[in-house]
Amino acid sequence: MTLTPEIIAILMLDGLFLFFSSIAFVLSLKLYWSWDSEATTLLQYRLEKESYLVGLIIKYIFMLKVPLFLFFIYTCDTLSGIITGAMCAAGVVNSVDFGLFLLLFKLLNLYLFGFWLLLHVRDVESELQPYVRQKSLFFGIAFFFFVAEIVLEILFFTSLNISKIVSCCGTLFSASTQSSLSFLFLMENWMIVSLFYASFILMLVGFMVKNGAVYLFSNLLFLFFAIVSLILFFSTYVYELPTHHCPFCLLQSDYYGVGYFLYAALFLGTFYGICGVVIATLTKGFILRAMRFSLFFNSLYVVMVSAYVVVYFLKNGVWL
Amino acid sequence: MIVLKNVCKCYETEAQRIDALRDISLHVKAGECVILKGASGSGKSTILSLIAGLSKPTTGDVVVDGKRISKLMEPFSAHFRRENIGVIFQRYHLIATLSVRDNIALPLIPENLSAQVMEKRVEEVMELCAISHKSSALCRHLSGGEQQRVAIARALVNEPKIIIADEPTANLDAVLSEQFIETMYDLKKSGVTLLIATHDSQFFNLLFVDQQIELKNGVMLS
Repeated sequence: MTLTPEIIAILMLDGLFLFFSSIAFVLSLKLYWSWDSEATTLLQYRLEKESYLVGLIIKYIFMLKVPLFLFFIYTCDTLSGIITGAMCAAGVVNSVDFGLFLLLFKLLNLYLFGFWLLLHVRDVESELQPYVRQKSLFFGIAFFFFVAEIVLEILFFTSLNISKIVSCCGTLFSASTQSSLSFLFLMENWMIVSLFYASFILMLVGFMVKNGAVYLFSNLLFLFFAIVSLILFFSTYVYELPTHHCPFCLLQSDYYGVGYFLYAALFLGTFYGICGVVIATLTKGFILRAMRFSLFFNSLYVVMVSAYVVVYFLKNGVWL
Repeated sequence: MIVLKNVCKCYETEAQRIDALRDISLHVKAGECVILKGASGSGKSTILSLIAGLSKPTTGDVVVDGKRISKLMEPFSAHFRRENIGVIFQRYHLIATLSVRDNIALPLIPENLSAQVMEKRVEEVMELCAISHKSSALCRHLSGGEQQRVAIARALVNEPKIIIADEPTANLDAVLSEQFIETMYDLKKSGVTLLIATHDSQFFNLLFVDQQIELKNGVMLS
């Protein structure tokens, strides 16, 4: 087990999250089973206070989870200096069998917590809190994903072995080796990039015809193709190296931390495009507002990644 | 206008449980003047705070002007209170370091009114409460009676339908209490609903009082 100040901080916060989220989980179940907004009983008045407490706990966890996600990447990045073979966070994440799953759980939970938060906002906008049961049930389910993430994270840090030689990102994100991600490289670049832009155009169409279903579907496609095309195609223009495809090195200061901007735009855009549209549809809210937020951030992402390609071509007169 | 249905309120600490109100039901029509009387600790102030949405019952329902204020979350009950209820506290709760004018204008700030409209409203209520001559004075420099008039002006500035006063004459002499009663009478004539919690006997035989409710240990006696 490797203990650095960063790991200790993360593990302590995990313990804190587990404690508070367990309270929120128990109260959420109670709220789901017993909530009756019309009742004027002792139980209902207690539940109203507890509903406030649950909201407070989950908001607190979410507010910490967002920067903590970036801190996790940063921690992995710093650990790459002591883990043999690792050049960036990618090598550290992949040094443990389930490292990639942990990362996926982290992302999924950000979406789930964000979804809960949007539902909560819609709920407290109304005098009678019409979505308390729904959001309690949702948290009751999301809690298990959250616990899975915490357990994986604890296992991840306790399994890190600094004496074990790991693959660097150049090997992991390469067509020439048999890594868990090498299947991505079986796809043709032109096809992936075309599908990426096609999903964005579909999103624009969904926005123009104000169709929530089309917009939601296009965002799901966009999220997938954006990540794949970033690894296969766009990252090479950021690094100006045709063989380097690592999505983690984008976060390093050598590339001005552009990855933080790219991922923030992509995840915010698709979050509003997926969760925002679903919430707006379910609660008969302002779907256009969610779409506008989403389109703004997704467009920003498209502009940023495309700019790297265009600028490279203008400077060098060739494509990579 | 104001309905309390089987309201109970208890305050719990680790050591004890205090039943401040026990199964209180009452009905106040719009424009009525209601006196809540009883000894200290009888539950008068608790009833007022429930009607004002400042606290929630343990069980039971509180409906004010058709709105179930006991079921509203704090931001909504604060909004409702701001628009419909003026509260005169026993200790006035004025901000000592602000002037009379600023204290009175405070409830108007969240309303986003123009400066002219705000100024006009403040001038009107200062006139009504006979405190215009002290408009620039700091509240800490005012006498008890003057402070009370500022508190009344502040309660009236939002043109509320309901005025709640908690022991309003507890700190006043007989003359100032008389003046307060006259102000309440004027408000009653203008259609404002009045709820006054007091143990001051001056209020008990007033002709403009529609209901007198006596409380003892959280129970309604009459």
